[in-house]
Amino acid sequence: MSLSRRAFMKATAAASAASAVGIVLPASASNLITAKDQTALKWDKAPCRFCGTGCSINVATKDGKVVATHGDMKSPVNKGLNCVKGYFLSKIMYGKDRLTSPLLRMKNGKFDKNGEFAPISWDAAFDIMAEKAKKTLKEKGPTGIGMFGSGQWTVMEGYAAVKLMKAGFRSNNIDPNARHCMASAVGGFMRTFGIDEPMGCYDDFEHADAFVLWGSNMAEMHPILWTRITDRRLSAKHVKVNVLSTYTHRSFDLADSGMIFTPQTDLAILNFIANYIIENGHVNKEFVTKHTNFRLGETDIGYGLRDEHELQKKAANPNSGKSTPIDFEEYAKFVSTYTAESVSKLSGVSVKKLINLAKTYADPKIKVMSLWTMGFNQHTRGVWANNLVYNIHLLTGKISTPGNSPFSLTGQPSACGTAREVGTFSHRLPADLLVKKKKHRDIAEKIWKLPEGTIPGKPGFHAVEQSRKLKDGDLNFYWSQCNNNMQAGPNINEEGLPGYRNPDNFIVVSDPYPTVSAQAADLILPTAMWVEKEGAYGNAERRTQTWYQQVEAPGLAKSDLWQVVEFSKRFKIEEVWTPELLEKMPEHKGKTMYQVLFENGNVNKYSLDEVPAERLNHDARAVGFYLQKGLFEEYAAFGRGHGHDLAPYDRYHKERGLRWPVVDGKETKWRFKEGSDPYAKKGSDFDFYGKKDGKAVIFALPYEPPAESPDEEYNLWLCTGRVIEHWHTGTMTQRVPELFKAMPDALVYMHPDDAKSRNLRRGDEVKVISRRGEMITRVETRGRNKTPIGLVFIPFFDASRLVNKLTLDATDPLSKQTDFKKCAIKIEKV
Amino acid sequence: MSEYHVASFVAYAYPDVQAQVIAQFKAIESCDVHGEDTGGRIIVTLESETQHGIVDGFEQIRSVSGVLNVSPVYHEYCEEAIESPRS
Amino acid sequence: MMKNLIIAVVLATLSFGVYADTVSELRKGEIKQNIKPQRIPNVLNTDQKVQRNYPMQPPIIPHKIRGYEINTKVNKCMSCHSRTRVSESQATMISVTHYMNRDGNFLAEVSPRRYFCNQCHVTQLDTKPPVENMFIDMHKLISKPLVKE
Repeated sequence: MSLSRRAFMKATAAASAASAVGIVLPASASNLITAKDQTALKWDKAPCRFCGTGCSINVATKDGKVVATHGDMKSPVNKGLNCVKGYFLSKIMYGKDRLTSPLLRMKNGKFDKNGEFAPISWDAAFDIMAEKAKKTLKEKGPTGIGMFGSGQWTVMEGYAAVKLMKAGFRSNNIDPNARHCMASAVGGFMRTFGIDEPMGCYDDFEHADAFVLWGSNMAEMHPILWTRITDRRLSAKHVKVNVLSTYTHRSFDLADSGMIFTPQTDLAILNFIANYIIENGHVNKEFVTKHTNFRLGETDIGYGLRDEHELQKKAANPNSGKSTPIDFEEYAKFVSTYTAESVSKLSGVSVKKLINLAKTYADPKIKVMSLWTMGFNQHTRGVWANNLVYNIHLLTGKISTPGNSPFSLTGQPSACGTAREVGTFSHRLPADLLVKKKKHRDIAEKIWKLPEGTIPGKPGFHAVEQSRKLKDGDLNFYWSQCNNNMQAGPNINEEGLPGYRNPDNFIVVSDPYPTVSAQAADLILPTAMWVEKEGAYGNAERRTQTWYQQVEAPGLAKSDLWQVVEFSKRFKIEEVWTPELLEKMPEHKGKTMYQVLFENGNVNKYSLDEVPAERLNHDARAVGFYLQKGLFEEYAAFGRGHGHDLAPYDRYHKERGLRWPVVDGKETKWRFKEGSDPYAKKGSDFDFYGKKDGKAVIFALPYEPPAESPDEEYNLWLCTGRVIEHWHTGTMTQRVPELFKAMPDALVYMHPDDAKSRNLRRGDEVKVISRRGEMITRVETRGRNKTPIGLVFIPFFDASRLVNKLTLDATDPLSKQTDFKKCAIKIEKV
Repeated sequence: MSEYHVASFVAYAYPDVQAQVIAQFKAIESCDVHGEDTGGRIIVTLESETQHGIVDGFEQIRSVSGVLNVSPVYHEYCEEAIESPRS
Repeated sequence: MMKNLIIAVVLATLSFGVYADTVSELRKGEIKQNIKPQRIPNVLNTDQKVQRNYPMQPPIIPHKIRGYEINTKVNKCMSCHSRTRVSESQATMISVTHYMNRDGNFLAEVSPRRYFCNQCHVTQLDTKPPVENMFIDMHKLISKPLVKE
């Protein structure tokens, strides 16, 4: 080994120790002979690319490559830790098959939907995109155009896309993959509190006396938050961890009480707990009287399926979110039927465990933190489940104070920061504004300097609806960015794939790697990843984090932001706006869509001089002004003064993120609480200011069965989800050899007795079949997930084993979020 | 093929004997002192061909008089022959 | 320069590899197809340390861990890897970084935040990744001769 390598290791060791305690090492103190240029690594900060925990990372680059990453010791989120995926961030951009050129399906040098992919230039790519988009606009109008975005888009990318679609093309057909992830949580927040996102923060982990995991597997899906729970549980003797799920998984390893329940019966268990609290006199009467209202929700609301579906026709009040005011006595009567015995029978959880769980909530001395993700959200009554868990925190007043925290965990790294806060949904605008409210559209049009009436008032097609409209040929120009919906979306055979391959449709997929979605597309655009561009993410605890571009993207790959901005240059405003609209602001005549949206005095307000000279920032240099800052500051105007305050953009580059609302330079830890939240009115104690009267809503909602349960033929429940080694569809993680080799294939996790009764053994090749399709995989009977008899689990990270061929596109009728956790299948030996 | 181990530590010494502690550290063969502050904290590294050597060095540092505590921070090793002698 | 060479290689591979229906390199087949699944590979059990890509990477577990439990009652990994057990087991000692708590203070015992080893450490199965990774170890970059301006 050369001296320089050894010296390098020693210098790194010393530097680590010094930085751990904040000592500056003098350059000459180490007496080492090093060629400083050779050993110097450039360290910079970024948020992790993966889950909604939002850990902060230090990234080391050398010679234009990422060579190492380290959990940021200074970040309050993770304090130096990562999970196994985070530790391999330095490899995710270097898969050999990285896309470096636009690819178009061609025959004889021309576009052909049945042709083979050939490389073309960006110019040619935008040419055909503009041609197809303009054709669709002519034939169908703005409703024929659609965009499917992402909770992994940066804040700026989501914001630019929202402007492109709603202000430029005047179409509300933009929806993010976060629709599959957090829509029910948003629905829950809006119905109960009138404003989105958790009121607590991660500080609650260090204060709670009890944790309750409702259908979430934090050990694998939010590992760093799990370490905080582990730390708290193993350091303080009185702390208890309760885990509820439909099968046993790794989070049960820390559980003091583990409960397996029949799918969908979480609704009943929640109502039982409310009943227990009331019957045992543990209602915080003062809190409830001062700070809550009661409402009875409409029931029998269907399953979000196509209108012709039997279940939809049978529903009494399909898609209804209506409710009527009631009083406390009526609510108490409503939940009184949810007794321990009846709920135990329905759910399969013992009476003893149910009562213990209820006591955790009822005992005023126990500070309880409830945590949930996809178990509640990917649920045909997901919004209800969210409402019901808030009920039990509101009845006891256990909310908005350290440790008392109903905490909706976010899945994706910026489902909060981008999708929800920027409003990249078919029914939304930034800062919780809605397209169907004229007052809200006026606000957006004013900030965006657009004529009145630009933004359409009718909500567009949401995720599942987009798949259906593509199949039916109503949506013809479709741009998918930063997601892999062909693999991750439900019901591939019947809805997803036919939509992409419908000859009337032109499908554009922007992706860094060739995915299954790219495979089904007509045009593939190569995308820049993570630290190959400047960006901002917002995590589950409302913490917005920014990062600088640190390396260049390979080949012709460009960021989603650059793609959207460049595309907008291909349209004259006359081609997308009606003459009547343009007449209202004739100064826009003759301009391109780009000029109207991005050179409007706001977005181009900050000059390139503000970009530090040594920073790469390709996207800003491409347009000639500080694009990211301009977009961010224009976007921030929506929220400042309205409970969504963001700090000035430049401040985020200096911090390890800040939790909004940031008022007078100070971040907010607990919202709705006087003293902690600057928006909580003086003298209110608790102010749920999302609602006009400052009161949160306790909803009376019942248990209703799932859309498709096992029967004689399809006799098993299918539950889908993730594993710690892989992120979502494995686009990034399956290309890291260590992560691939840790978990290469998606297996079907089943109970040994279920295998035996079907004449199966571990390792057997099996067909998993639902009414919508089939998939082949191998049996696992002794894996990390131990399912009860009658239920199996299959993860969706494996491009070769597409479990979503089996799933049903039933959704929560209110949130339109797919239920990926429940459908009926059968298993046969191959 | 042998191994090369390097580990770094933050040593806490009584501030009034800090200089003497540092002198004692420097006398330990596998130990290098890299920096300090005015409050008694000293940054040191240890090198060794074995993990045991690191643990032994750790014990040696800890037992120097005037040392309150030694906290390990970082440890790296690799398997390659050490070609050059220590200077 | 290394970077240009890599880009050239990737572009060349791409222009040969992406024609026809196998755009997705992780999936060797049409979407409608169901692909024959490989047998469940065995866990690599060599007990040989695997080189890390960079210093802070958590080491790969080079042995089987079937039946090794980590829960509130027991941590099987520590029965060989804790500081007090390594002289008997000859296993690698857990890194000293595992003794630091959330606030940066050092503890006599392993910090509870590090308790679940398998959140960072994984085994490897005996299988070949379908896509190669072109990550370059920093030491390879450092050992290149310096190009003087």
